[in-house]
Amino acid sequence: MAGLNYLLFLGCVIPYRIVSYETSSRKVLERLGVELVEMPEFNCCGLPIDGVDHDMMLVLAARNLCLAEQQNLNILTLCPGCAGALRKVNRSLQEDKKLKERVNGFLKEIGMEFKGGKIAVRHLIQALVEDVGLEKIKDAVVKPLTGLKVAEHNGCHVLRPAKYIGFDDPDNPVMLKRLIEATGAECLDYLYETDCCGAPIIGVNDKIPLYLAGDKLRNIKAVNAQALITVCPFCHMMFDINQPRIERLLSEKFGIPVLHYPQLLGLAMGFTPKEMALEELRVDATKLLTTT
Amino acid sequence: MAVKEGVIPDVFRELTDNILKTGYAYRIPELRLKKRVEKGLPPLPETNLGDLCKLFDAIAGSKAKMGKK
Repeated sequence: MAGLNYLLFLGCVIPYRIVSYETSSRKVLERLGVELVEMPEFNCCGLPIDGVDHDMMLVLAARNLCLAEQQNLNILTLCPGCAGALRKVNRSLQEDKKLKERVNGFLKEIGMEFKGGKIAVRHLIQALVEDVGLEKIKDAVVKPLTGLKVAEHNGCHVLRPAKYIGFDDPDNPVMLKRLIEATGAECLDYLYETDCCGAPIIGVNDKIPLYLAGDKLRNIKAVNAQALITVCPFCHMMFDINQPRIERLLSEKFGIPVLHYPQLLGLAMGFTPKEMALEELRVDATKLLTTT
Repeated sequence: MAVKEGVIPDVFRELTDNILKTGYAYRIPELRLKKRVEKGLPPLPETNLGDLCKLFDAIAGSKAKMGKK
């Protein structure tokens, strides 16, 4: 596995609110021999405004793809929403000649042209499974998290729409479980694992998403998971940052620490909790350290 | 259909405005940008806002043309 390098697409929400995901991902990937190149002049992936202006979404995503084509590097994203949007546009523009012509008509205004077929877009866990490989990850574990029982939440965009994502089985996903097991921790099954966290509708309704996330936290607590592992900044915000709100709304106490997958892997690789930015989590995760 | 009639939830108007003014869907406070550098993370690259304005204008122009037809 020589020379794995990517252009890092950070997106908007990670530098805004979820820096612990970025910090832990960078450290873990570096130790796994993955080189991340900073993506110059990137803009929002376009996904947040797809519902109100599809053309603008296409063009915003295409501009990012052009930046990657200029660097001749594949894109790595930590946010599955960004990965999904960029992958969908990358593929749509390659498959639909008329659409590509129309988008390139807009891009011409800024001296850019989407060529297509030159670069790929990977989400973090896809890169870990398919490019780095589970064996290399297992080899990097020096402090196996034996005895730790966790649950996973893939989120929707990591797996769907399957036509564009093409990773894992959206109805019965196993890759995140395999990645968790590579750390030595046990990954527990729970009811309705693939249900949405509720985040996509929080802009238009602030109660339903909290009930949805609350249902999931209840199911996770029912199997006595000590922590929940996520790979999406929006899902993470729902379960971690919003957990106290959910507890107040439902008059229920969950107290489930929510870790980004690279934080869990990093602990197993021997990084300290501080290096993995565990102190930035809303729900206290220090109680896990006595288990590990 | 709702969007065509101008019925857009405020949150989406705000997101679009943020992208046009900063390149990102959220306005990231200066303090957070400073903090990330203090924590050893690379500074967040600035996007080319001139490019984004030209793209928004081109799309708005094309929609206006289509509306006239």
